[in-house]
Amino acid sequence: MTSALLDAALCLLFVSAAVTTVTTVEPREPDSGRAADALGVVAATTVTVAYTPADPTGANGSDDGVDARRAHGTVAELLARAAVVDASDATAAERRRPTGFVERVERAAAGTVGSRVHVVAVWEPYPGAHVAGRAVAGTRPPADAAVSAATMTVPSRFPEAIAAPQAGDGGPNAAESSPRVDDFDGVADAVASAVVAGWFPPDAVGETLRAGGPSADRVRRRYRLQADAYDVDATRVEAALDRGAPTRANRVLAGAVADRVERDLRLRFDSPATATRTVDTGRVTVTVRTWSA
Amino acid sequence: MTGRRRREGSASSAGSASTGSASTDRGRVPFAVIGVLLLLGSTTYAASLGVPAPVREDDSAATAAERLETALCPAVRTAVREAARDAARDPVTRPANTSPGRALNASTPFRDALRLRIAVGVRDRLDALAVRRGDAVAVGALGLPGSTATRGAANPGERDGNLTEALRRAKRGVRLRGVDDGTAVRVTVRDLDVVVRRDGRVVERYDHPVTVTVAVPVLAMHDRTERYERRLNRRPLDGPGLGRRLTARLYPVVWARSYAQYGGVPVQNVLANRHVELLTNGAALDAQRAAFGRGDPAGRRRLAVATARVGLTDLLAPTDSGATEWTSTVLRTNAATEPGPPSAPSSSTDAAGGVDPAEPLRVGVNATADEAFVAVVESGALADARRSAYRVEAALDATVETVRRDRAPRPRSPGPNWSLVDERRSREVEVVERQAVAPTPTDRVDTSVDRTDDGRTRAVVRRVRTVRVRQAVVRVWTDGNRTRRHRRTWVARHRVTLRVDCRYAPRGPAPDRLTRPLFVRGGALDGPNLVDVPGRAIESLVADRGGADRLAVRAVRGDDVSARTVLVGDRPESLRTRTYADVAGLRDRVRNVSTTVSRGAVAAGAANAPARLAGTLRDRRVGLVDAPPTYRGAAARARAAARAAYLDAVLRKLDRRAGRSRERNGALDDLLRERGVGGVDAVDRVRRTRRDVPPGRRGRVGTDGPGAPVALVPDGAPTYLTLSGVTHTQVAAVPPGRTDHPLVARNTNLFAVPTGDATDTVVDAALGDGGGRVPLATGGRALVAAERTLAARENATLRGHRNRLRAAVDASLNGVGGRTRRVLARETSLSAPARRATVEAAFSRWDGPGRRALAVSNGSFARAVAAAAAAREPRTARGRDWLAVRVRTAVGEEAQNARVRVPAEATNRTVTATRRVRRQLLARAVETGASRAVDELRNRTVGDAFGGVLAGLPVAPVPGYWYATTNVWTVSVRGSYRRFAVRAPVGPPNGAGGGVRYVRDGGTARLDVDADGDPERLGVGERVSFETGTVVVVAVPPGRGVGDVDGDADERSAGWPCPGPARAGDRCRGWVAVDG
Repeated sequence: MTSALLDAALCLLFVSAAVTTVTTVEPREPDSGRAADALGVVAATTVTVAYTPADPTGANGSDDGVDARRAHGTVAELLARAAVVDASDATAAERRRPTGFVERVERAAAGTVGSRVHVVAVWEPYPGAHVAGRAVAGTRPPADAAVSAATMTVPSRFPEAIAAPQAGDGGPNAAESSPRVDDFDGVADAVASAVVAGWFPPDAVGETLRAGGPSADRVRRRYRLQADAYDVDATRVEAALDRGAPTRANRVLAGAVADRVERDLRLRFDSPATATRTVDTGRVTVTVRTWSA
Repeated sequence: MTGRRRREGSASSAGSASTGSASTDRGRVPFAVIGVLLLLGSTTYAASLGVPAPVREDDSAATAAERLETALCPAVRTAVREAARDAARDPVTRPANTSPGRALNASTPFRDALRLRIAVGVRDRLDALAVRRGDAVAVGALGLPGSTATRGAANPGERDGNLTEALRRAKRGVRLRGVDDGTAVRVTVRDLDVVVRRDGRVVERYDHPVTVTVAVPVLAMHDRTERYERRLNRRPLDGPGLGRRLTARLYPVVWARSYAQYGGVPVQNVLANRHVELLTNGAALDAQRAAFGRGDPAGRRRLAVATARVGLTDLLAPTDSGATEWTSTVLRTNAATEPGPPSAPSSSTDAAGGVDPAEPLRVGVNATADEAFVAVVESGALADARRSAYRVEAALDATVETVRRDRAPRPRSPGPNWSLVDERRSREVEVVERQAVAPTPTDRVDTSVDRTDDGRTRAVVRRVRTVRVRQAVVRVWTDGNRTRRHRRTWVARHRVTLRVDCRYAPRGPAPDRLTRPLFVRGGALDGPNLVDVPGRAIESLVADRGGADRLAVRAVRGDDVSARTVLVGDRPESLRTRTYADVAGLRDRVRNVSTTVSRGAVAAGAANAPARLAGTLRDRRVGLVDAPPTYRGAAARARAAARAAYLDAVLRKLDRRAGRSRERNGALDDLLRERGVGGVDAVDRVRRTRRDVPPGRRGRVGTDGPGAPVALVPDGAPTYLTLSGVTHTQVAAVPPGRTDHPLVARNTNLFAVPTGDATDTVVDAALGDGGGRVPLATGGRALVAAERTLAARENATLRGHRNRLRAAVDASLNGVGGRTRRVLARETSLSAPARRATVEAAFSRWDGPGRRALAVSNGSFARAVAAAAAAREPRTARGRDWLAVRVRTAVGEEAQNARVRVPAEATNRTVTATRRVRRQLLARAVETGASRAVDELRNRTVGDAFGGVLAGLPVAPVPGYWYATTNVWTVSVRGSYRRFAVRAPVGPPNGAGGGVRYVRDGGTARLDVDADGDPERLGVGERVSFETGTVVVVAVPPGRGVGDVDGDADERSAGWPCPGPARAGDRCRGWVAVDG
């Protein structure tokens, strides 16, 4: 019995020691700190990215390289904007041009964040949305690596489809009409108009159309592509643009987008209320993941 | 340490396994216990990993706040970026009279609006940023209505004054600063609070100011647009800007076209508004480059098209294409396919044939030399000068030397008691000896020529007389009853020297030099050379006054016999002819003396050529007088005196001309002031400073800022400001159904044809009251042009006006003929019929009164008369010269006589009628398409006379005096861009392309300051508008005129004086401002 007791006592001792060892060997907190540090870098470091906007005519209508654009901002900001651009252009070719904004931002961000850091900026108006965008910097962590992560949100270019629950009333960036959130139809309408307003901000588009020139041609082409993607009669959009009324063109487009959004929502959510809670068009989530070797 | 523990761990597990295997046969309980313990251990492990430490439960507020802080910075960045883009798209340059509008400072509305936009943008993002941790909610707060957690007591219901005050506070809470020349903004949101609530209760609240630097060049865009507008509104003397640049571009064009016109090219309208349009656009593009670092690229292309087109239309017939057509041509034509030179005229490269205003204009003495010559000959000034060289001052004085003097006997009483009762004295003076002293062999007159101490020559003649004075005294003595008479005599001898001192004392303008020899025959002309003077001096001072004896006696008696006189020596016969020839030679030399004045200065009325000429002559006077170091006798001095006298006469005349020039410049000055261009001085300064503009350097803005360097690209709508109307189809920015005049211009030619009041005003000032008359030359040219046109096409009206003008010119020519005959009567011995025939013969060389008038004006008539007169009567060379000079000056004088000038009305009517007929001719020729006929017609009719004979202001419009023709254009331009944008290719894609755009289109800027979903008016971004002007002067050599001859001296473009869309009645309503 004495030996059994001794045995048990030893066993207890060993097991306790093992537990202690395990907790000591794999501390969680320091790793989480590394991700937060990386997030700080991503949020604070500014970079300048040169890129060329899509050229609709093929012949560069600009002179003296004025069309080469430069964007300056924090890594997080640019990645978030890249995610938004990724969600805005109708065709993959457009999105992923080598000299385009998304590619250039991703390359510049990867150079800034260093190794063993993976940054993903995601804009998704609601989970499982057919329209979403992402921008990635750094390499994916290996499947077996211990990963720590930190996230932040950056305002997207898109207005909030449904005002944040804290706010009593809709801000100026909310969708124009107060959305009916008690049925899928209303939520989809709100989301769709926010999405289209993000693709084509009416004020800026109006100004571009008034100014004319290659920029206006570019905007018209993007409208056409989006219209094609949603099976909208492009001539209706064009007609609205010819009248210099981008809001009307946006409404035409938003109708078609809303149908798709509603289909998405019905598939994913069981009630309009849950859908409403998850809708987030105004923010881009930037996630930083780090891992050790 | 870890490694060691692991090893221990693995060792112990191995140990336990062996122990386990060793006690297999024992009870199961200890292992169950171990299992329980294992489970416990793993649970503990899991718990330690999965659940936050219980200590952190109390940290939820701090964590939430911390999370919020990290999110605030990107949110503020985004808010600033968006606010900047919005502020650029709808800038505020004039605050509205609304609650938010009143919160903006009127001096910095743009920046204030941006600050307000940032405050509102941050506020609108704060709600979405709320962080919830457990039951703690962290939210940012800004003291602004509409915010969920407003800082102060302000609540959304507050309006007007309170709202304005709250907005003002919110605005002050945002500090805004440009970084690196405005290419980025550094913004500090100062009154941002972090508020943490738990269950609706504020548990923590603290300041959290956020500073971000965002690379949006919105401040650079605004500041440079403002700078551009300021530059557009600058007048030439305000500093570098549109006015000065426009001047710099106008000068070469006006001068090139003026000289082309002068050279006979049929230029109708030297400066037309189409040039003003073209050059204003060029200058505006320059100003853009100076302000932004580059000009509107589309504008440059449009300018190239317009340049090519203006170049072409200028060569074509003087009919402009229609206004609509022009707008489309310029704004729609593809620049690449446009023929012609695509380079814009610049201030540095002048158009072909252009003359630079700085190029000197040669002005000669010309006819003034003749006039002065006639004046010195006729007034006797020349003779006076000759006489003055032979002037001698002679002085006589006498010296008395007593040779012997007996003592006068004392009265000697014959005895005591005798007394002197009477005493009578007598005295007898007589010359007892005459002697000439130091006789010289050269002449009969015993003259001694010597030099005074200062080296001057003098001649001295002495006459010496010995005078004996015999005195007697008779004294009568008495002693009471008897008398006794005593007579005593005694003698004194005096030698009296009468000395006549002849000093050479020339007067007159000849320079003072020693003259030798003198008082001896010889010298320059081998003439008497004052040898006659001593004799004549004795004659006049001694002989004529009673002779030497008497003077000697008088001198002895104590009288003052000294006297002085002035004598002029005999001049040789050849002296007169020699000096005439000499001075005539000098006259021809002086006639060719010239000076240079800047053409620009002449044109601006800032130069006084006669004054300069006088200065030149004064400088060269010594050389022209040509006095030798020592005069070889009086004749040499006489020559110098004559020359100097002549030069002085020329200078006097030039000074008078300079005075008239000053008067004329003064009159021009008055006229310019009256026209509102600010006087001769201002005009000249405009001319001189026109190139004082820093070259617009192309480049980007900023150097080391976060977004720098940035290319700012201006983009005006329309890109090229046309004078013709612009509609929606041509420029999209113009609303359908409206017509804009982006640019309006007015250019006034002060001295155009038909001759206006301006010419009279100034010419009258120079020549006295003209009384609505034009110079004979002007009438003559008009007459010639009318004759030619009548030959090409009969027209009753023109014939009528022509006849009247011909009668007027004929009358003037009669006046000239009469004067010429009078001169011939005085200067020749021709009979009256012969004189008449001479003048007729001279006139008959030219065909018709028009050409005769021109011949009178350019001096060829005078030459012809002189030649004809000389042919009828044999004359010496000197006589011929004199006659020619006399006729020349007389005709010249007569031509400037008011009576001889031609009525302006008759001239103007003829000119107008001629032009009308010619247009018809030209139009018909153009219609029939006979281009050769057009050319021929133009060559025959337009080129000679209307190539600018009549226009312009002649400077001293008299033959010989006429050294330049000047003209003045005043130009005013006003413009307004329907829309003026600046774009910068910066920033991430914003869904609309085009980078950042700054737009000034008169649109209203709105901002939802109170978050009620309905944006309030902040203010308006006024259109970029401008008004400036300049004045251009030109001067061409004499002979022809310069100026607009198409009858449209005051050329106003359509829409003047209101550019842009706004127009209410006759007054411009807010063309600088906005719609609505």
